[in-house]
Amino acid sequence: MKAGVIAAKEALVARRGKRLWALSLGVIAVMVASMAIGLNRTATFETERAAAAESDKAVWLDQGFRNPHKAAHFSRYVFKPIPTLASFDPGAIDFGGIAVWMEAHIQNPSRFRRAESTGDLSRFVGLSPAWVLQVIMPLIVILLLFGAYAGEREDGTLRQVMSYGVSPGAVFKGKLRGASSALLKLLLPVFALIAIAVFVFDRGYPQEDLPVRLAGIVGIYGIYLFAFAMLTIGVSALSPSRRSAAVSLLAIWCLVTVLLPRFANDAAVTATPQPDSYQTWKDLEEIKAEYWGVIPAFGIPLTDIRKREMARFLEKFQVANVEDAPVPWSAWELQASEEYSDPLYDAYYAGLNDLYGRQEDTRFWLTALSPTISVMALSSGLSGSDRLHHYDFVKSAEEHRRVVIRQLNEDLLYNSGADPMVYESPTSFWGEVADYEAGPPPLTNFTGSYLPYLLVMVLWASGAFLFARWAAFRAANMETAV
Amino acid sequence: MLEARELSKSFNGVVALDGLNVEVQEGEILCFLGANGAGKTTAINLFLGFLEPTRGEALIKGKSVRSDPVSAREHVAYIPERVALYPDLSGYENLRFFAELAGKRLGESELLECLDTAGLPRDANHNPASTYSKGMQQKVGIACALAKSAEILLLDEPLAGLDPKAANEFCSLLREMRNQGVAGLMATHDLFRAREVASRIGILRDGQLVDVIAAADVTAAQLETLYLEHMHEGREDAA
Repeated sequence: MKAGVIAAKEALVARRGKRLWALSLGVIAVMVASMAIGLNRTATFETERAAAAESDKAVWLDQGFRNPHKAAHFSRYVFKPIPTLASFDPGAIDFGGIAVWMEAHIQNPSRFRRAESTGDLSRFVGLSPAWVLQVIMPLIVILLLFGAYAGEREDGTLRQVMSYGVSPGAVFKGKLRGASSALLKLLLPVFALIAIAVFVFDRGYPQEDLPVRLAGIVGIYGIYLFAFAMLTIGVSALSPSRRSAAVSLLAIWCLVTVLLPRFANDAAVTATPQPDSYQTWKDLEEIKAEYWGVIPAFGIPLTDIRKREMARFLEKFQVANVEDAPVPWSAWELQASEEYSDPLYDAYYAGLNDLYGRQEDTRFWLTALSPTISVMALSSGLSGSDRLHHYDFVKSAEEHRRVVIRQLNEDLLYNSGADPMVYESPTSFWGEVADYEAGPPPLTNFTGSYLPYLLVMVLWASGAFLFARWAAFRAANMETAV
Repeated sequence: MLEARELSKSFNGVVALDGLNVEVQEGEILCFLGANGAGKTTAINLFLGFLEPTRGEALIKGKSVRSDPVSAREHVAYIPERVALYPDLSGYENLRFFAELAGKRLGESELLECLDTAGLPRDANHNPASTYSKGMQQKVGIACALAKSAEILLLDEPLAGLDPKAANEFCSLLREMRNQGVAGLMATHDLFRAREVASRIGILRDGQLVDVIAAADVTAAQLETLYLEHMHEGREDAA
């Protein structure tokens, strides 16, 4: 009951002090601005993607009579669908490339990174609602609660309250309820705004599991900010004055939300360096050359692999010379070379993915010091804008490339007659080649990857709660209190 | 109502209160006089359970404060040198909060009556406490004690810094409460007000209760002489 009385007083003081209102209005204003920027970015992305995909398709369909292997080199782009929630958290969208050029012989990396086409200022973190919740909201929580105990101690009201026979536990519960209520008042309009924005105004690629993802976002930010609220109450309880509480908390905020996440990135890249784009291209060219030696391979001696494939071809068709086979060897070899190099590309990209995974592992260990690192990983994951979602797109684009290249190779194999290189597919054939239609992958594909981050968040929140409780009991003991 | 048995407190080996034995009955106010550091505030804090005694025991209504400070405080109203109020809340809202904290759900008229009795000007009831003078804050403190129906008052230099009129009004209220059966322990430097309010006056020197006088038995001048004699003896002992 006494906790309820204290909670009601906390709410009254918060209302009367106007700080909550001012901070709420400030947060909503920043949220509206950041959401508008996010919506505009996603809409621009999606409009450009749709237009580029349309134009790419028109050029493909309009190529007239053409040799299918030449078409396989001319080929098409696969454009990455930008999910709705990228408006909320762009995550790694700007750095992952938005299109993959499907080509014969090679699995190209994704290209057209948005970061390449933005100005120098983009290196200073762009404004997004997720960034506001990750970095600005903890500061707001601190501004709201830094005086929770320190202010009362400084004003003498804590002593006055304790003299009324209130237990330290009741004071803590009252403060906890007051803080939770203030946090809810701050967050409810923010989450309502985000929900309205993504459900009503967003022009991103629809995500079928959007409600689940949004609920997850509300949950993880709730836990994250609760952890900050508890940390603030704890530090406030250990501080002799508002000023010292504010200074300590600002230092913690700076360390936890600004410095450590950046340090974690640098530490991850230093611990596990990644190949630059020159090296990547070189590696991919080497894989391509493994089968062919060089491309074009006309007139050069066959590689051992080609010799083996030719032997397989002759055996399959029970002929002594390739010219005696019912299908052209050169067309058959095109598909054989694809099938030879497919697992090599799979292994190469899986290796790259593992490398990025190891970088994330390094980052993960620093979540012990900063819950911001965890919330960043979970937020971009739930928004569908992280590396895992990008890798899923890369894999899906590659699957599509293999279907298209097989279709082109089979046209050449079965319809070209004796000389595949002079054969031209009819105009109608291009429409038979499937379009890329995959949308963003479902969240369930990645649940296991996010669980450790979620666990860390819960541990942080629980630890912060226990710390706040310990500090509050210490503060209520007038003899040991600072 | 209040009892100290060999009550002692040391801070890092420095004795602040040394073997205090005292009892305060219903309708009685005991004033502690003494120089700074004599142990007056330490005694109050020990009765509040804010400090743990090094030795001895503080009892409120026969129950040890040390073993259950929270329930001991339920009988007590604490009025410090400056009653701490929430500056953004009005005197009325502060009173309502502290009354509810004491488990008293009083109606508006009852709360306003407490403020009235304590002497807070009516037009100030709903003004923010940040606009209150020290005297007004002390009056809200008294109103809180009235609303709580406290049986015991623990007053730590409540008159310090009050203008003579406010101090006089405060003392009148204390006398009234004493007459209604409230027991009190008050630490003060003000000899004259102590004599006005107290039933008995205890003189503390270097943590020891060196004298206890019935307030009615001495004039203000005699009390001053007695007090100065004790302080002088203290200096000689130290020399």
